[in-house]
Amino acid sequence: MILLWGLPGDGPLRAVYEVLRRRNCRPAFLNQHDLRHTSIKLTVADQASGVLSLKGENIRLEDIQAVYLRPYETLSLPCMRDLDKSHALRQHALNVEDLLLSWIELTPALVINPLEAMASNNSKPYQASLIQQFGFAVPDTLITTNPQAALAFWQRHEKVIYKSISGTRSIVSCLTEKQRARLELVRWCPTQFQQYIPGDDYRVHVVDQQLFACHIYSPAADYRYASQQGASATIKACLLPELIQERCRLLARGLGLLVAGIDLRCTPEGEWYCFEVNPSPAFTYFEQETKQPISQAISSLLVEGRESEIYPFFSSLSYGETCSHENLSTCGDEGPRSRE
Amino acid sequence: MLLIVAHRWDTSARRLAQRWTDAGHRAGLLTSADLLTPHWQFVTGQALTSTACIAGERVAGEEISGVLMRLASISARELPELAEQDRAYAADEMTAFLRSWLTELSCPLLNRPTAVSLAGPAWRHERWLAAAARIGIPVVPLYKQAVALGTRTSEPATDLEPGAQPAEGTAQITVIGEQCLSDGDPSLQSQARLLARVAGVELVTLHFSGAERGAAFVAADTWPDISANPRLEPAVLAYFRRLGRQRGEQA
Repeated sequence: MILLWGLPGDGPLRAVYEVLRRRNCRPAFLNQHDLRHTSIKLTVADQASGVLSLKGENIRLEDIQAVYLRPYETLSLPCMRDLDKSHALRQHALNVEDLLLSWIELTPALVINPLEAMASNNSKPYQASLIQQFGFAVPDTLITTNPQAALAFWQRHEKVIYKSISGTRSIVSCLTEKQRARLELVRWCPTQFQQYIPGDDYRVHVVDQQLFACHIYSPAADYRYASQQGASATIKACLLPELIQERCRLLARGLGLLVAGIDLRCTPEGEWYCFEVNPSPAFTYFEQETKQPISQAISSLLVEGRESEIYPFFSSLSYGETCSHENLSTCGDEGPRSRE
Repeated sequence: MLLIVAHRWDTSARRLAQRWTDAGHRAGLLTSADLLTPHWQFVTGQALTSTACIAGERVAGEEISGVLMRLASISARELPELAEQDRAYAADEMTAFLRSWLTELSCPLLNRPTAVSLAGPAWRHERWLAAAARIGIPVVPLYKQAVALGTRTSEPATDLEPGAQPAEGTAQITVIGEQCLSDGDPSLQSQARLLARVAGVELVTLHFSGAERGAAFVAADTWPDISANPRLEPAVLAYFRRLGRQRGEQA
């Protein structure tokens, strides 16, 4: 039995669910909208066992071979808003979440992804120190509440960006003269500044041993918000140098992640920087743009366990460019747009 | 400087910092209030040359000789100086910052921050129970349930309400590094050290059902109240001194 946990409207979860259904796998879907109809019984000794009931269907926890987790924060769900702390639904929902998380920490089932492994993303500089151990470069980073220190860092690097330190999503932005006066505000909260790294963006989705890499063409500081920054973003599947591929695999594995979205940038000099490893990547956007079979790979991982080789990474090239990026300057027409 | 990282309202931590200072140690209490000062500078990878603000004093990272962790994360309610709509974000940023800075310090930390918590691995009670059972320590199996709303059940009541703390055992063994503070059976002490190692914690108080051999594991507390155990405070200081010397020799 395969268990999916989250909301039916969640893109990645829905994509994997549909693939599993087409494979006649009949996954169980723990829908967070249906928590009031969900029961769980858990017994813990040297193992965790019990029963999960979803709208009357009973599932032995020991029968669950794999789990794909994409739950939203329980208290942020629409049905939870405005509920008093003592409300029965609120208490029940938190209880279900607590017991499920307890079971997930103890189960021998394959979990995408283990909770502890995902937590490194809650502190970007903390994660960056781990990333460095796998051979990727990381930008010079200053975290400060001292406006003068921020100014000195900016002067030293000439071009810097700022972004959140925690897992809270932020738009990566370049520091400009307009923000100079606002640097005084850093005294109220540690703020992260990084040297700006010029180059081309790559997103690599790692699914166990499989890699799905794509090259992102955008002049925006943060391609995810290109339109807000008056730019566009074009995504194409690509083949990374073998060394970088292996680093990505080792990095995901080293962080304990079976599925990861790795953000890379390659400089004009050919140096590879890693900005972040996303432990719960919203891969459907990239899958739609490149036709890379990421949801199929995740489904295979859930069904067959680790080291599935049904979808070798090079199968993604039939939909995209085949340019080797050992040296970007030889890429020809598919080369990156010029940076500011 | 010995550092205690705690919530603003942790009077026990505040008293401890004062006792250490009165005893002649250079000690300080770091709270969220210190993170609201314009003194912090940390270039990642260079924690030794970082500048912190501890109890209003500027301190270089290399001056910190030991850290006692007394909080898992900064919470929004610890930041009344900030606008209400900014507190949750600032709390998350401060927690993330501390995780990075603290893990880069070269001094001993009790307990070393992890990705999950600033105060160590933050295991749930169930995980402690399973870990104890897996290394051969007797446990009483735990039963919990959450029943769908509107459902009648004849099942026995939950042993432990989710979120509730398990009862303390009659015997406690505190592990600090390789040292045990306990009057319990030596076999329990061995089990306690092993369980602490499995959990990856350097400081923990383990509760057992008794002090005799074969007693069952009951609960774990990674935030023991140092002031409540007269043997614990000197043991913590000795731990910092010992680890600090070892790291100085390695350097």
